[in-house]
This record gives sequence, structure tokens and C-alpha cells, in this order.
Amino acid sequence: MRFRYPLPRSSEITPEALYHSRRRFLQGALSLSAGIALAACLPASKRPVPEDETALAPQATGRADEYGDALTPFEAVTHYNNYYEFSTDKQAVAQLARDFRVRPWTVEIGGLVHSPQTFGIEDLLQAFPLEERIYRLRCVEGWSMVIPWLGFPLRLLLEQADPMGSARFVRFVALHDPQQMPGQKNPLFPWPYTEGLRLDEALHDLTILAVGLYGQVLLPQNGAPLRLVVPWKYGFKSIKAIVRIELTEEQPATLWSTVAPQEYGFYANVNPAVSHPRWSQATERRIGESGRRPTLPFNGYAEQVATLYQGMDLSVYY
Amino acid sequence: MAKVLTRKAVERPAWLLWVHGLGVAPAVLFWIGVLRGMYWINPLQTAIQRSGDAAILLLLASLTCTPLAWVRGLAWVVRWRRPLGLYAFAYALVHVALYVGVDYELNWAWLGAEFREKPYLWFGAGAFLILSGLAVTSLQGIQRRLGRRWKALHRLVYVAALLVLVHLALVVKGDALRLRGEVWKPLLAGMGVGVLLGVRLLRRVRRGLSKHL
Ligand code: HEM
Repeated sequence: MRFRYPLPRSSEITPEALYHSRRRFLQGALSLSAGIALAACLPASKRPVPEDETALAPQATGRADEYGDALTPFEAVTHYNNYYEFSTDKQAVAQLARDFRVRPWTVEIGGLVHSPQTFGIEDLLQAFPLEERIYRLRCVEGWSMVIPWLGFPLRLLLEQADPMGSARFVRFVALHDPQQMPGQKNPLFPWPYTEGLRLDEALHDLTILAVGLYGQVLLPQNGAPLRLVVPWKYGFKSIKAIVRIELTEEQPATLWSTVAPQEYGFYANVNPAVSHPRWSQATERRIGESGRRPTLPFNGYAEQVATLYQGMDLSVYY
Repeated sequence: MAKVLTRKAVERPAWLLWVHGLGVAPAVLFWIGVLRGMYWINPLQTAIQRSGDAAILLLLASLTCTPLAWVRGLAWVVRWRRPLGLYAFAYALVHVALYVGVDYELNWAWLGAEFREKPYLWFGAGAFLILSGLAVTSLQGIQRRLGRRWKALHRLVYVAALLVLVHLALVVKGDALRLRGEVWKPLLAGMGVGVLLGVRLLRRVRRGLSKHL
């Protein structure tokens, strides 16, 4: 199956720009792993923090999304994180996640696939060409950002594992390590964080695995070293710090739909017509703007993805 | 009137300082956070949440005064009840004004849609109406004119507390009844309201019993 963009993307980048962005990214990746290798020899208190290691200037090749809305500043993207594994306080996450160990890291692909495999994160960074994708991120809490991700389509990875004909869903599991992720000591959540997609959603070209943003290696607070980005769904679908990807026949349980099934469905498509008991889904607050703006169906990606849901009652499958 | 005299006699001279300190503390803490650059990314959401937290905390503090005043030697605490309640109302007013005026910029169509579909707003609005009524009738002139009806009227504060509790339980990310998710705030507030209402009911029952015996 092939997917095309009906809209010209503003993130269309010249080969040269792409080359530079990739170079910068790899430099970042190298200095990050070097820093961590070094860190192993240092006393814990002197361990350099990731923020220092990736002190390259944040630089995206695009400036705005296809609607002309400007990128959300790097500082906001990296210091306002809904990441309950660390804290429910979005502005506390960056600090708490500073020492999070992103190397060594492996990602297992298993379940209903012909060739299950385990990737080291370094290999995964090299395996596929990285692209910059400027996506809107719409949080179910009613705020949104525009983020220049670096990553590759999830489809490329799934194709390598060769899904069986019986596979219908993809299940994602995040790291479970309460020592490093203090929020996981909260017994009121069924850790680890799990998420899921229908296989056709997972294979859609808009669905990426991100390893960086703003031309840099992903920082721990943004889901390093590997996270999902599904731009037409509410942010909580885009699971962070992935360690396992599994193809299944049954629709997998997900963390938020387990915690509050009447509020968070499996699909979680951005939909101004399906209300949430708390936050407005009809309107949103773009970070950096005052006031509200209307929320777009499928977060503005309806043209690309609406066909995936033809004939489905989206107020039932919310 | 004898009660008032004893109250005066044991009263701490600095009581007003304490009350106002308590009342202003949430605003000061918030302002320190602002100055330290802690909320710049989504200031409005934080301000709405923190003003709501301050309102319910001060409401509970105000409700604590009555049972505390039963304790021998603490009768003077009852004086704190009104200012604390008024502070609670002030924070609730800020909370609502931020939501309606700054977040929604008085867009009545959008606000109307929200109010039609979200029960948590009904409970919040109910509580806010009661608190507004109580704040107005706590003016001394009106208080005197209402006489004994004033006391009955101000019992509504318990209804307000219960409404806020539901508002809070519905507004957190999780399911307070099933103990799932981010529910510690409604749990704590629920325990607070439970204890405060409980001790009063208990006292009523005990008084009723002793009258009959
Ligand atoms: C018309 C009346 C009211 C409206 C429109 C309203 C609106 C809101 C909104 C929108 C939130 C959610 C903020 C967010 O999570 O993004 C909220 C939370 C809250 N509100 Fe209200 N509210 C009202 C009345 C009240 C009153 C009277 C109180 C207390 C006396 C109160 C206490 C709270 C508390 C404690 C929270 C939770 C804050 C947190 O997440 O920590 N609200 N309210």
C-alpha cells in the first residue's frame, strides 16, 4: 500500500538541507553516546546531563506547518511534557528525566511477525533515512504545539519484521523502570505505559517513530530514545521510550483506556465533534498564543487519514 | 454574648495577620513561581488550576473553623471563618474570570457549547453561585437584616463544598471512584469534606441524644 500527500508539505526540504540536518543529528547522536560512555567512568554526581551534551543550536529546516503556523519554540517543546512516568507536572519532567539512561537500549519487534528481531538503538538510528516532519501535536487537555520531528515511518520497521496475515493491531510497550521513572511508583496507574494502533494506521505514512526533534537527538523528556508520533490522534497515543512493538490479532489494551475507558478510547482521533467530559475538543489553545482556536478534524490531517475510518461511527469508536 | 467576651479574652492579637497570611499565601506562591519562570509555557492552564486549588483549600480551611472552635480555649478561631471564606470566594472568582474572560475571551457561543455538554462545569457553577451569594450576604448590614435566616442560608456552604468536590473529582484525569489515575486531590478533599461534615453530624446526634435522655 502507498500513501500520498494531497497537500504540499511545508517541510519539503532540499537535499542539501536534509544532508546538514542529518549530519547535525548524527553529531548529536555521537556526542550523546560518547558523553554517556564517558559518564560511566565518572562519579554519579558529575554525570553530564543530556541537555549539555546536545548543546548544538536547535535547528529545524522548516519554519511552519502547512497552514503557515509557526513552530513552537524548542524551549517550550522540551520543557512542557506530559510524561506521567516522571511527573504529572509537565514542567517538572525535563529536570526529573535528566539522568534517564538511553544507552544501552534495545527495541524488540515480535508477536505475529515472520521475523521477530531485536534492535540496538544505534542500529535503529542508522537503519532508515531520517526525515524531518513538521506535525501539529494536539493534547487531549486542549493545548497544542507544532513540532519538527526527526524520524522514519513506522512502516519501514514493520516491513522488516514481516507481519503475518493474521496481524491486525500493533501494540507498543514503554520502558518499565520505577528506579529511573519515579512516576511509575504511583500504584494508581497500570504501568508500563502501553499503546496500540490498528495495523493500517501503523502502516500509514504519517505515522512515524521519532528519534529527534529540531534537528537534534530526542531528549529524555520528549520520549528518548524512540517514540511514536501519530499526528492525527491525541498526544497520549504517541507513546514514549518504546522497548517493545508487538503485532497482535486482538485490539490491545492501552493505559489510558484502561484507567478511564469512558473518556479515552482506543482510537483517540482528534475530533472536535466528539466531546470529552473535561477539556474542550472543539477548541484548543496553541502554546504561545492567547485565546483559543477551533480544533480541526483529525488535527488537520483529514485529507490523508479520514478514509481509514470510512463507515465507522466515530462517536462510538472515539 | 458571654461567649464573645471569652473569645476576646483569649484571642491572639496577631490573628488578622495569620488569616490574611493564609489567604494571600497561594497568590504569593503562584507569583514566585511566575517570577521564577515556572509557568511561562501554558500560564493560563496553570493559573486556572492553581486558583481552583486555592479556592477549595481556603473553603476547607474556613469550614474547619467551626469544629475547631468547639475545643476549649479555641473559641476565637470562629472569627477566621468569614475572612477565610471570603478569600475562598476571591480565588473562585479569579478562577472563573480566567476561564470565562481570558481563556474563552467571552466567546459565549463556545462557552455555551462547553456548559451544555460538561457536567463538571455545572457543579463548578453551582458552587460558584452559592459562594457568591454567601459572599454578598456576609456583609454585616445584610447579615443583621437577615437575622436568624442568615444562619440557615450559610449552611449552604456545605452544599457548595460538596459541589466543588464533585467538580474536582470530575476534572482530574482519572476515575476517583475506581481509584484509577491522577485522583489524589479529590480523595484528599473528599476526606476533608467527609471529616468536617461528619464531626458536625456526630455532634448533632450526640446533642439530640442527650436531650432525650
Ligand atoms: C462557573 C464556575 C467554574 C468554572 C467555569 C470552573 C472551571 C474549571 C476548569 C476549566 C477547570 C480545569 C482546569 C484544567 O484542568 O485545565 C477547573 C478545575 C478546578 N476547579 Fe473550577 N470552575 C468553576 C468553579 C469552581 C469553584 C467554585 C471551585 C472551588 C471553590 C473550583 C475549584 C476547582 C479545582 C480545585 C479544580 C482542579 C484544579 C487542579 O487540576 O488542580 N472551581 N475548574
